[in-house]
Amino acid sequence: MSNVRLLSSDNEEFVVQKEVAERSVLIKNMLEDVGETDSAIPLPNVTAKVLKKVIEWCDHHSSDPVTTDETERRTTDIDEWDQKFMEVDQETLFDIILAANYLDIKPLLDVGCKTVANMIKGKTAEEIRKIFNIVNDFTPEEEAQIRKENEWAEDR
Amino acid sequence: MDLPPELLGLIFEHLSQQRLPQCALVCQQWLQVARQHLYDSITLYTFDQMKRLIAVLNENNAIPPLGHLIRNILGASSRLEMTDIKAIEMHCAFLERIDLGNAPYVPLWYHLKQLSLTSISFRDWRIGQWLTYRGHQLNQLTTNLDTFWGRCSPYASFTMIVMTCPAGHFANLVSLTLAKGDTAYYSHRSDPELELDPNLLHIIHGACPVLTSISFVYPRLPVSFKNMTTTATLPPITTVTTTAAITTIQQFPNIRTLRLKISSRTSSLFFDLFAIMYPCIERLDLEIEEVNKDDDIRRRLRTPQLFDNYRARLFNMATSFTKLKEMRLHTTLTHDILEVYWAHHGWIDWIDAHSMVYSGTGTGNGLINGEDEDDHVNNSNNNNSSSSDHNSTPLEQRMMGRNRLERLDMTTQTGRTLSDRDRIYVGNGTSLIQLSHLSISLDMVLPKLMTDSLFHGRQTWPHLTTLQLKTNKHKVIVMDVLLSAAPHLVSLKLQSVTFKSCLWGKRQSAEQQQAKKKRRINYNRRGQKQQEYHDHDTTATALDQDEGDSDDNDENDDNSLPSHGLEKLDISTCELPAMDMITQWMARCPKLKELTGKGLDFYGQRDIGVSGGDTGVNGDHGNDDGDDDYGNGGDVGMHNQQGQNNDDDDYDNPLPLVSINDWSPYNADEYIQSTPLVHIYAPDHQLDFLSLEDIHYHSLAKDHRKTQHYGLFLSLVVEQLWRSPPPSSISSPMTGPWIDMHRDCYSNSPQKAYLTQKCSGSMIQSPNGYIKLTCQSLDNFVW
Repeated sequence: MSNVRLLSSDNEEFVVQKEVAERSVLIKNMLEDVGETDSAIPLPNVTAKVLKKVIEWCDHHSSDPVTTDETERRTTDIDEWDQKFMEVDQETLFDIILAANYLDIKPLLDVGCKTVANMIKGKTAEEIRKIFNIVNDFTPEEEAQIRKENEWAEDR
Repeated sequence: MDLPPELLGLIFEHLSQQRLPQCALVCQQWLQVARQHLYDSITLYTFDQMKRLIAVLNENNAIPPLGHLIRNILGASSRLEMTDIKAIEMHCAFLERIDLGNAPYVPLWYHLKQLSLTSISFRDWRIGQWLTYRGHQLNQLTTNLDTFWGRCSPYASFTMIVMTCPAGHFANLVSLTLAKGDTAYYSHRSDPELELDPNLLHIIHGACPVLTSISFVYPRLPVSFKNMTTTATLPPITTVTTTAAITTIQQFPNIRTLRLKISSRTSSLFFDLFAIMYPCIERLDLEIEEVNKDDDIRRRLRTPQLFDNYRARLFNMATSFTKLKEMRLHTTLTHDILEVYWAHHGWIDWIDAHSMVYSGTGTGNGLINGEDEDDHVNNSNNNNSSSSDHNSTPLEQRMMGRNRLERLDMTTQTGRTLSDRDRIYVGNGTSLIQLSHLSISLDMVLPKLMTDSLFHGRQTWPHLTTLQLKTNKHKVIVMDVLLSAAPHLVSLKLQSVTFKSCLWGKRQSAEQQQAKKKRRINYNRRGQKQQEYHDHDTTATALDQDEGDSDDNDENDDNSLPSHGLEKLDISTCELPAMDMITQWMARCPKLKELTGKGLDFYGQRDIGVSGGDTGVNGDHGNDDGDDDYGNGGDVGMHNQQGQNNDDDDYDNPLPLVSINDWSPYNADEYIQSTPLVHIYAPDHQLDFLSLEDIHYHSLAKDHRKTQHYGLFLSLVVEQLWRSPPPSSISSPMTGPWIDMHRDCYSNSPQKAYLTQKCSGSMIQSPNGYIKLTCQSLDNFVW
């Protein structure tokens, strides 16, 4: 099986199996466009630290079937390995999500988004702000207005 | 958090409508994204919710207007008044989908993709115009075929539009429902006979080139064919003779779903027509409705020739659908069960024939040569030969290469309770055991393969993911047996069953199971230990575990069943012999996300010779103060019970009411002093939805037979939890009567509680029991 060389934004080179690299639609398309090449594929938006994580994920999931089932995609279930994989600091988690988006790796993007969604679940706005270190830029009046506007949605 | 809005949107996709309002309150950036997701597709559960939404649309001045974000409104909109509909019309300019039921007025939104026109007919001139100009954007349409309107009124009808529009006009229409027309019109004429012209169907298909689903909803109306001779050729037909010409029936292989809601007076020629027109049907919904007691069904029953003809045509249609995967059969029985049996008989023939071929048994024991089944099967065999005679191709050959039947729904709305004489045959079981989805009444005569799965655990359902069982007779189910028989079950809905757990005496407490689960949760490990099942009594089967290797294991491993991946459990009007049964199930099903229970009866001690029966909930435990710790003190009751019944004989004992803990949160200094009656303890669960209502507790002890209603207590306790301020904000532990003194036990308490009952303070003064829930991350809590 042929290998592919990937170059991170901080100029670190990774050699990975083509099959693993092709979990990324971006890389797959690039390889199809360029054909067999010895030169490294530059990934200017991904640092070596994050690229290493992404490759680790792609390697583990290299033989996964591609799921198009929307309901399955939308559940917040994450398998055990992925849960462990996503046990990283918040900055790295967001970097992985950004990288997955850039590299067009939908399943990894889903796992990342599900992880963040699980962090949000069951939390109040104040708790969410605390978790993600977000500044409240609403006035009390605006906050009251938004609360009122979405009241209907809280019933089930 | 530096994520661009589009990625924030992807995160919000994984959050439910109920969770998004909190996201909208985080900051301005989150507000914009959360709004888009919240308002794009709205699901309304109550009419009140709809009214509040309309009020918000009327009052809000957000930019862009909230109404402009709405594309879909699902549910709870059928009782809307004209002013409400006008308000939605005004605010929601980009609406694509809404179901207005029988609304007197249907706004024709510019972007509408789904339209239902059954209630208003075409007297509104705008509709014809809209369909002419914007018909291409529809993907779902429900309409009638009132050709007479087209003929005798100046207004357009659907028929007129499809006849005059260019081919392919409804370019995106995938689902078409041809329904009964304007009821107001029919009331002036006594039950007119609808005429369906095969030519008209051809024209409709020409106008709707991508149609995949077609429904004919003509309840209570006879349908005949325009100008068509009723003595058409025997099946399979390829041409239909009319008075004017011979029409060659065209095939429409794109149609995958066919729904028929027809009257028993509908001509059987209907079935022949569909058998030819739609050869690639994968899903078939059939509902044959009786018109009245002396209608054609009875006449046909009395005339064997008519019976055979009708049934042969049904069977012929079924065998023509070579790709059939799903069947939903429904009947509204009014008086005679035999008629239901008959009405579905063609389909049951099909299921049996399919079973025979699918199981590869050839002609061994199936429909053709089977002689070992009940009378009705023999009857079926005899009758089937008449249908086979019509075709030169042998039945087996016709059934070869079929898809696996994946889904079967057989539902009846009976006007009375079924008796043992009502024998509704549902097939020989080989196909049924291969299903992924099954909805059936336990009151039907189930094939042995199915009873083996349902009650004995001797047969596995290898593909089953959804199961709905209904009964009027409180059949006994052993949940563990059922779960073992269906290892891939995701959704289970049970109505009017009595549960029984035969592992009760030897089981661990829920707390012990939960603790063990923490150490080794393995969803998929199953079947590693052989389990041996045997009948427990005459009505139900007990599950006994093979203790061979681990008999002396002090870790009680012999008691642990493999985890199960069940995610949804819905039980209504069921009887549970012990109060912590739900906890036990949850311990086995760590993935459970939705739990719904309605009209549940929990039973206390049996009054037939129970040793150590005093461990009942109203017994001694209520006064044991200080046992706050779930991990240790929580299973005192269970231990006592186990201690008393620690030999193998306890399988023969009736099941006593057992308290899995004796924790009493409210002592003499507090406001509630009681013992939990129904305690759902599942600290590791991520329940998304819980709904328990109308719960009864029945004490069966000899000395005090009584029934108590606990729904209100439940509400009260939940409300109390909800009202309790977070620990950090309490300066004094006793700031009022509603403070929960034991909030440490509720550290994972529900985030929100929605109360459907108003409760008064007086009710909580003297309760002697309540229902408690310990759960993690619960957002929605409905009583």
